[in-house]
Amino acid sequence: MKRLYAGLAWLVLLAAPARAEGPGVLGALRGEVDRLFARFSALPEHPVYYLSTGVFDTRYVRISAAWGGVLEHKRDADRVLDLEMRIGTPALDNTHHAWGEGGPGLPVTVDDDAGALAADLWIEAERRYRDAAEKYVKVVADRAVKVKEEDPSPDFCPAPRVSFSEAPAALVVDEDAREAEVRRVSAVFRRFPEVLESSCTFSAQVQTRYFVNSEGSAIAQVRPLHEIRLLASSRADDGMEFTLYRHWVARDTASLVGEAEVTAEAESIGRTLTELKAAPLVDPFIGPALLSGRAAAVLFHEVLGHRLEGHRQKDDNADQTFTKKLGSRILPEFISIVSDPTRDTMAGTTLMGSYRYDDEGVEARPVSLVDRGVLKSWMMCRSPVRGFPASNGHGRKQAGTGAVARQANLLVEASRTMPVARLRAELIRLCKAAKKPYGLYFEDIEGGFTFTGRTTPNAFNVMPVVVRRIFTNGRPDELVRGVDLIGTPLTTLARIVAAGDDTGVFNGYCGAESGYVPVSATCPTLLIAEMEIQRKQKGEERNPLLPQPAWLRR
Amino acid sequence: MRAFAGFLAAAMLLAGGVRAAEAPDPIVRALEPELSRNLAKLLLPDQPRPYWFAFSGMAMENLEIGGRLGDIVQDDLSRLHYLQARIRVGSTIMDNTNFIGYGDGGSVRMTTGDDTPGPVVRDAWLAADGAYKNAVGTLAAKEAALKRETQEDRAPDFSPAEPAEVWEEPATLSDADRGVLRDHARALSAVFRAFPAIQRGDIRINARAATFRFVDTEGFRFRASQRAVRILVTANTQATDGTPLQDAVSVMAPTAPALPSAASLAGTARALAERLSRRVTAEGLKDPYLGPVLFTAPAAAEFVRQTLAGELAGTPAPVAAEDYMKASVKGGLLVKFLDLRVLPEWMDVVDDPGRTEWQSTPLCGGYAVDREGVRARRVDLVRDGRLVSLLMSRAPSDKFKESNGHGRIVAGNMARAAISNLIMTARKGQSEKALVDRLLKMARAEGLPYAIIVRHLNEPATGEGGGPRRITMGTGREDPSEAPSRWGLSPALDIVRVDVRTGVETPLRGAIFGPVGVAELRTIVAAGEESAVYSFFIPSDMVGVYQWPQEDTPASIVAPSLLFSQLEVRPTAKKHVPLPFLPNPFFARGAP
Repeated sequence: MKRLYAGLAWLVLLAAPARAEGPGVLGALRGEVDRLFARFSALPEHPVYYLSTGVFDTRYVRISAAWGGVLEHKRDADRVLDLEMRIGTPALDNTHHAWGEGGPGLPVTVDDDAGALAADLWIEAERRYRDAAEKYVKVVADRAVKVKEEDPSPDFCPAPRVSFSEAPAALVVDEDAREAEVRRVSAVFRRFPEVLESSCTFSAQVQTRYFVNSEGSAIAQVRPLHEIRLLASSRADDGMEFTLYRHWVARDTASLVGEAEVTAEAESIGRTLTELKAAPLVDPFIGPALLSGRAAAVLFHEVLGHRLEGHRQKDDNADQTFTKKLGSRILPEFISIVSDPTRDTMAGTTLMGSYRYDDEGVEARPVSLVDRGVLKSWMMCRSPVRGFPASNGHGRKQAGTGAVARQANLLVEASRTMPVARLRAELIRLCKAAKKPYGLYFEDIEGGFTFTGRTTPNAFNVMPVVVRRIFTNGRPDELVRGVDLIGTPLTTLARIVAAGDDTGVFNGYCGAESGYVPVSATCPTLLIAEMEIQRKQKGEERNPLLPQPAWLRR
Repeated sequence: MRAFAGFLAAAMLLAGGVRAAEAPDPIVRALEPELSRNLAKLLLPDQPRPYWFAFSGMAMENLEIGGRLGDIVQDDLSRLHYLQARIRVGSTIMDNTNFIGYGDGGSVRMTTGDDTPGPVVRDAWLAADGAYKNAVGTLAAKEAALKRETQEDRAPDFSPAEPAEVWEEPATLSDADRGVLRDHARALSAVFRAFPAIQRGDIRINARAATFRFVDTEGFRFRASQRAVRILVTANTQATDGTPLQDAVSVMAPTAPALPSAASLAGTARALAERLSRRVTAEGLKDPYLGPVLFTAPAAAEFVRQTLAGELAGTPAPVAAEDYMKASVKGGLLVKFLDLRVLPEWMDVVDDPGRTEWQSTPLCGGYAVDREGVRARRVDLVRDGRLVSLLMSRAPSDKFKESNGHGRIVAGNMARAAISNLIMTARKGQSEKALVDRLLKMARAEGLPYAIIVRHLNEPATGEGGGPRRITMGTGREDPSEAPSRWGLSPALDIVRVDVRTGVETPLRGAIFGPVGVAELRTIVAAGEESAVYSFFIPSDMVGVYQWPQEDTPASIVAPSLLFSQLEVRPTAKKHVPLPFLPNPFFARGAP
C-alpha cells in the first residue's frame, strides 16, 4: 500500500551538518569509495560490482503553535549516511526484486572531518557487504527453484558518469518574527469553537545531498524548502472526524506566502469545519462528479502514477494494470501526462517534487508518460524493464533504503478545456441525462492510498474532505460529509469527459517501498461521467461533554 | 467497615480539597478552576462520576549529543510540554486504576510551553474529557475481568495521604551546559583515535531537565524539578577469532557541572577502550565455573541494578483483562519474601530520596515529593538481612496500606513505586585485598585452580531499556507472581580469573552468569569497606508499563564489593563473524 500524505507534519529528518562544504565531503567519500571498491571488487567470492554512497545533510528550523501558544521551536542539523552495494552482475544481483530494502541511514559527523566520515563509511560497508552477500546467495537459489519471471530484464543498467556540485546554501530565518507570526495565525482558530484541534507550523530546511559512486560520479545538490502548514480538525456529533489543511511551499522565506493570506485561509478553514460539523451525511452514490484540480491531481497520483513506476512492470506480484498497454489509449485523447522533475513551479506554485539529479546520480528530465491519451513510457530508475533499458532520472529514496522509480512532479494537462463554470453546467446536464438529482463536487482532499499488489483488490481510495452536492433543480450547493472516492483504475480513467482551464497543485510526501519522498501533482478541474463513493470510516469518539473553558470564549 | 471507609473517603474527596494560599505557579493557578469545573460537571448519563481528579503538567527539555572520533554526530535539543489528566471513577475501594487491557483513565496531550496558560487550560479541558470517558470504560472492563476469577480480599485501589506543597524552581538546560557537553562528546570520543583495535566507539550524552506540575481535587499541588545528565560510552570490535565484542559504561550526575572532571571522564573512556582492546586477544572462558565470585564495588552496584533494584516496589500487580497480559507485569517480585532473610544478617538496604551524595559522589535519584504529591520518605527496606518493607505509591497492597512517597513512575493513571537512591551497606566491610585473599582461600578449599573477579557488567541492552530480566522456567506461562525468583544478568565485560596459587590475573571474555536469585544473594559471605555509586535512568519497562512521553526517571545505587560463595559462570555461545576486509581508514591515514 502506498500512502500520500498531503504536506502533513511528517518531515524527513535526514543527515545534515551545520556547514557542509561540497568538495570536502565529496572528496572524503570519493577517497573511501575508491578504497572500498578496489578491495571489494577483487574478492574471490561474491565480489562487488557497484558501490554508491551518499550523505543526506539537513539543516532545519521548525516552529509550530496552537491556540496562540508555541508547541515547538526547534533548530537542528544532522547528517545521515546512505550506502548501496551490488554483488553479482547487472543481469542478476543481490537487489533482485528486493525493492526499497534497507534500513535507516547511519548518523555521521556533522563536522567536516574526512577521517571520521571515512571510518563510518568503512564500518557500514563491511556490515552491508555481509548482508548483500547473503542476499545474493538467496537470489541465486531462488532463481534455480522458482518459475521463470515474465520480464527477464537485468537488475541494473548503465548510466553516464556525472560531476556536479552546488555551493551549499545557508539557512537564513528570522526565527523570532516567524514564531510571532505562527502564534498569531494559530490564535485565529480560537474564534471557532467547533474546531477541536488545530496548529500552524512553519518549517525551513536546506538539504544538501552528496552522492558518489564507483563509476566515478560525484554530485552535491542543494534543495531548500520552506513551508507553512495549517491543520485543523473537528468532529461531528456522530463521531465522524474531518481534517482540513493548507500547505504552502517555496524555495526561500521571502517567496513564501504572506501572513494575511495564511490568516484568511485559517478563517476559511474554521468556517468550513463549522459547516462540516453540521453537514448531512451522504449515502453511497454513483454518478457524475467534478473534481477540483487539486483533488484530481491526487486521483492521478494514486490511480495512475504509482502504476507507471517502472520497476512495477516487472514485478510479478504487482497488478501490472498497464504493463501490456504501451501504445494503447488509456485516457481520453485530450489528456496528456508528463513527469517533469526539472520543473520548479506550476501556475505560480512551487513544486515539491523537483530535483536536478535523482538519488542514483542520473540527471532528471521530463518524460512524456501519456501523450494525447496514449500510454508512452514509464518513470524509470536504474532497474530496467522490457523495452526500457535505461533510467530517465526517477530513482528516488529516503536515506538508507534502495532507490526505486518514484513519482516526482506529475503534470496532467488537457489540450481541450473549458471554463470551470461551463464544466459545472455540463455536470448538471449529465446528471439530468442519468436521472440523478445531483452530482458531486470534490473540492478538497486530505490524501489517498492505493493497492498495487495482486492479493488485494486493485483499487484506490482518495479521501475527500470538502464535498458539495450540485443539484439539478437549481437548489444552492450543499456541503455534505462522510465521503470516500473509490474505484478501479481502468474504469475511472475511461470516464473522464472534460477538463477545466485552471490548474490545481497538490504538494505532499509520498510513502512507498523506498520511503517518503516529496512529490507534487498538478491537474485541471475534471468532469467525470461516473464516479463511485463509499461511506467514510467513522470514529466513535463523542464530542467533549463540557463546553470549552471560558478563556477561549473571550 | 471497609466499604464504609471507602464511601466516607469518597465523600470527602468529592467535597474538594482545601487549599490555603494562591499557588505561586501561573499554570497551576490556571488549572485549578478547570479542575473544579470538571469535577463538578463532567458526567456521562447513568455512569459513575469522578471521585478524584488531577492535572499533571510535564515540561521536558531533552538534549542528546552524539560524538564519534572527536566529532559531533548529533546535537539535538527538544523542548516539549505535555498535559495529563488523571481521573478516578468508582471509589477508593474499587476504581479504574491498576488495570491493564482497556485503557487506564489517563489522557496525555502535547501542549504549549508559554507562560500564558490559556492554551494549556484548553488542552486540560480535552484531556479531562478523554480521561473521563476512558476511566468509565476501564472501570467496567476491570469489574468484568475480576468477575472471571474468584477474588480473595483485594486491597483498595487508593490509599489516603497527606498532601505536601512543594514549589521548586523550573528546571532548564542552559546554553553553557550544552557547550560543556559538546566539549565532552568531542573529547571523550577522541579517546578512540588512539585505539586502532576498536572498530567503532560512540559517545552518547543525554541531558534532561523536567518540570512537573500537579494539582488535584484533594488539595495536593506542587511544582517539582528533576535533572540528570548521563554520558554513555560504547564501543564495538571483534576478537581475533571474529567474535563480536562490545563494551559500555555510563557516568551520570544531576547536572553538567556535577559530572566528574574532563580528565576523569577521559580516564573512564580510556579505561573502557583499553579493556576492550585487551579483550580482542583475551582468552575466552572455556569451561563452566561454579564457585566463589567477587564483584568489586562498581560491578556490585551494577549487579544490584539488574536484580534487586527493580523488585523492591510493593505496588500490587495490576488486574489484567487477559491472562497473557499478566506476563508484562514487572516489579515487586520480592514481596513474597517479606519478613524473610534475603541478604546476610550484617547487611542493610535503605532507599533515601533525601540524600544528595555519597562520599562526595553526587546521587541522582533524589526528590522532595513524588509524582502523586506525597512527600518523599526514607524507607528501611532490608534490616539485618531481612526484607522488612517495600516501596509504595498510593496504590496500597494488603501488606502496606499507605504510600511512603515513592510513586515515581507514572504511566496513564497508574503511579508505580520505584527506587530513588538505593543504598546497600554492610557492617564489617573489608579491604579489597582481604576480599581477594578470602576469595582465593575459598576457591582453594574447593580444589578450584582459579577464582573469578568481576569488575564491570554490561549495561542492560547497552543502557537502553532492560528491566530485571526474569528467567521463567517451564512453559513460560507461569503467573508472574508465582514465577521462580531468578534474574538473568548481562554479560561481564571486565572479568578476570585469578590463579589461586600465584594470584596472577588473566582477563577473560565470553562469560555470562547462570540465573541469579534470592538464594544466591544469601550466599554473600563478605563485603567491602568501600562502596561505589551507579546511576541510571529507570526505563519504564523496568516497572512493566508503557510511558508516553518516556520520562526516564533517574536513580542511583550505592553498593560495596560483594563476595559470593557460589555462583555459576559459563561461556557464551560461540559466534564468529568474518573480520573486516580492510583496515579502518582513520588509522590507515595516520590520523591523530
